[in-house]
Amino acid sequence: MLKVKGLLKDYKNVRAVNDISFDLEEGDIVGLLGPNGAGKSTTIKTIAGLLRATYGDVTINGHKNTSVDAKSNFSYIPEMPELYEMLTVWEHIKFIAYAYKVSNWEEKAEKLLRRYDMWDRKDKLSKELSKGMKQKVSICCGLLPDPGLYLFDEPMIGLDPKAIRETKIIFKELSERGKTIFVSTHLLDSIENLCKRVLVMKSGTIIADESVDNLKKKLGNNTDVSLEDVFLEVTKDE
Amino acid sequence: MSSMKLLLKRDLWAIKNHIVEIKRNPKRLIIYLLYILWIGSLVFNSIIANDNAGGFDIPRQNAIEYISAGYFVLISILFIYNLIKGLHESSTFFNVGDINFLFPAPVSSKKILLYNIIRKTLLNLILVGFIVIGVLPLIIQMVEIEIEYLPYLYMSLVGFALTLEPLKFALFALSTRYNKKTLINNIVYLLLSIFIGFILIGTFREGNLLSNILDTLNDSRLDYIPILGWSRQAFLIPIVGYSFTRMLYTILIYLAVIILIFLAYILGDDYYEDVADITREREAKKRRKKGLDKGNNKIKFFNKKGNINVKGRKNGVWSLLWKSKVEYKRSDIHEYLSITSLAFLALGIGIGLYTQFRSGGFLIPTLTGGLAYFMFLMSARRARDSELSKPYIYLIPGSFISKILAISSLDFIRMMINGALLYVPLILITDLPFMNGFIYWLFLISFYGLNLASNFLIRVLFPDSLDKKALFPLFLMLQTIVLLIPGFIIGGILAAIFGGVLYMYLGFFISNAILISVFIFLSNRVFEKLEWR
Repeated sequence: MLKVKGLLKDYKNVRAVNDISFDLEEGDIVGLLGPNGAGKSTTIKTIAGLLRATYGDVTINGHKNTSVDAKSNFSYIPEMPELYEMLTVWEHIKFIAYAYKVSNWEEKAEKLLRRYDMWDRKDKLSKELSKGMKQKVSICCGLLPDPGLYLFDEPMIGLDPKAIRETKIIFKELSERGKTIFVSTHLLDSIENLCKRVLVMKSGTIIADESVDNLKKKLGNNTDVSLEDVFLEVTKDE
Repeated sequence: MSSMKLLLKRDLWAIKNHIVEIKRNPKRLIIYLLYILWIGSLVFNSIIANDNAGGFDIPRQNAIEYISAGYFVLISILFIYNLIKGLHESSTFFNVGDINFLFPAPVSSKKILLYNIIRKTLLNLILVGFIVIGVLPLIIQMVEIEIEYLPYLYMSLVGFALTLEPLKFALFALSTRYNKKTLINNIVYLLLSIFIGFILIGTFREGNLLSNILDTLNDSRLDYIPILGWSRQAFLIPIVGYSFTRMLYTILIYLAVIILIFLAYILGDDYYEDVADITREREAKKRRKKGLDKGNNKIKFFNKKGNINVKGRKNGVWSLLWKSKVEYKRSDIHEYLSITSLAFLALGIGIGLYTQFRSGGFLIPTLTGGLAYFMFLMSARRARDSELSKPYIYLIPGSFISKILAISSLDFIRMMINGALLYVPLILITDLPFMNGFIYWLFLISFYGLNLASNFLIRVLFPDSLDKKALFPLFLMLQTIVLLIPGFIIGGILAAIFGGVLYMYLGFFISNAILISVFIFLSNRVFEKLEWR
């Protein structure tokens, strides 16, 4: 579904992402972990075509990530839920439905908005929403087109516990339907039981790309070991 | 649904929501009503002007020179403004919603760009429409025009308006995409310097100032300047008559439009990264202006990074002063000096040299009055709002008056230095007596002080940014009565007693100093009524 080969991204004099490669298969839920400034958001934004890759190739379903064909195959849910100030929740949904040419979108949209308790706020302007509500709208917009690949950048930030749980359920449902989810997050416990595989980034490079179980085994196969312990162990300075 | 239709729909939804917002909050209508009144006054003027065509008794040749020069100045200002904007933030036609929703969507980036250029150009055309409404009656009053050639006048303006957005985008994309920002900035600023230098040299050469300005602005060499010169010649066709060369100039403008659109279209691939940061910055700036965000409004000319050293630690409330110093030191030439300081110095030397060699004694008091008036006008708009919208102002323990002083003092000191940089060269170069220069300086900085001291009251009186906008004209009238009349009275009395205009300035200073003290005292009393929003 997603192939990243030799991706390198420079910002002026800073190398944000340094020659990373990985593939994601259909049905994968892969976590992208790493400390602040590790290059997670840059990686996701580059895959989404919002940033230019300095070197390397990114293909989605065989199409170059910046092509219109590739864009029909993925959704990007940004870290900062910045919406169109003067559009209502429903108009955002409608806009996405038209942009991605989603059929029977009204029904799907209603279901999504109800799941995130946003149905009764569908006529509110986005500027009247709280940060958490904006995040919910952003997620609903990302889920509506039902593409093959979902790129989530810190999706749980600002969400209330119910919405976090709903998002986790949705992740599972999508995975069962063969959809690929690539999720960057700091909230390790929120994805602990979801991700079968994690990519751990540090200083722009991937320092671990394994299944969560394998990583735990490396820490002594202790059943009490959490993803947080694994993360801290992998990313600790030598 | 086609991409263009999709984007159009989005904009129509936004317009509809604006209308709904106005219905819900009719106060917003005041702002629009004021604009409508303004446009109405232009139209009314146009009707009156048409009734009294030929109202000015100016020789035809002079009238043509005035019109030609006026038009050239008008489009030059618009052009230079857009050119400089293009170097820094040409992506202003995008917003953050586009970055998150539109850019990752399966919509061609070129079509998005094209749509936005068209949308922005339409707005430019509306602006041009206002120019026509405002300027055409004046032209008709001044000189007889050949109606059959009037379309050329419109074509010149429309052509000019069509060039602005593609030019801005092409400039921006060329400089950011290929990492040639410095080179392109340097080229543009060099060309601008040559252009402005040419105008200044022509203006300040031997002879009458007004005729120098007119001669320079009508210099035929300026007609070779792409877009600007061409547009002027096309504009003049109904006034001076048709000629093949002028027709050629009209064609050249539209050729330039085609080339620029083509260039923008070629560069319209893969521009998302180039525009994202600037779009976010612009949005943040907009939010700060509305008072929605708590940011730093200081203009970062130098954007210095790394460690800086600010001597002397300040305690308690005075840490706000220390913070201002750090911010200015990081973002400006020096904690006490800015680009404005250099502008004041250059102005002082320039006016000084001019008055030294030419009879221009009126310039110094005029300049002083003009600058003070500018500061006065700015008072309701520019405030230390960025500081007052930060929670720590309310949380730091300390007396309100010391907070007010700590927030404002560095700005005031900087203005004192700027004022000194203006008047010291004037005193040294010209025969301006020290005491006169000193009084002008006091007059000027007292207006700045008035500006700073009234900020707190404005925030209490108009806590809502919408109120500030909507009631601005009313507030300005009130401000004129409250702030300027005491100055006029005291100044007038002093001028009458001691017999000199200088005493008017002194009177204003005394009045302003009293008002500043009263405002700071009142601000201290109302500080606790301020809300952190």
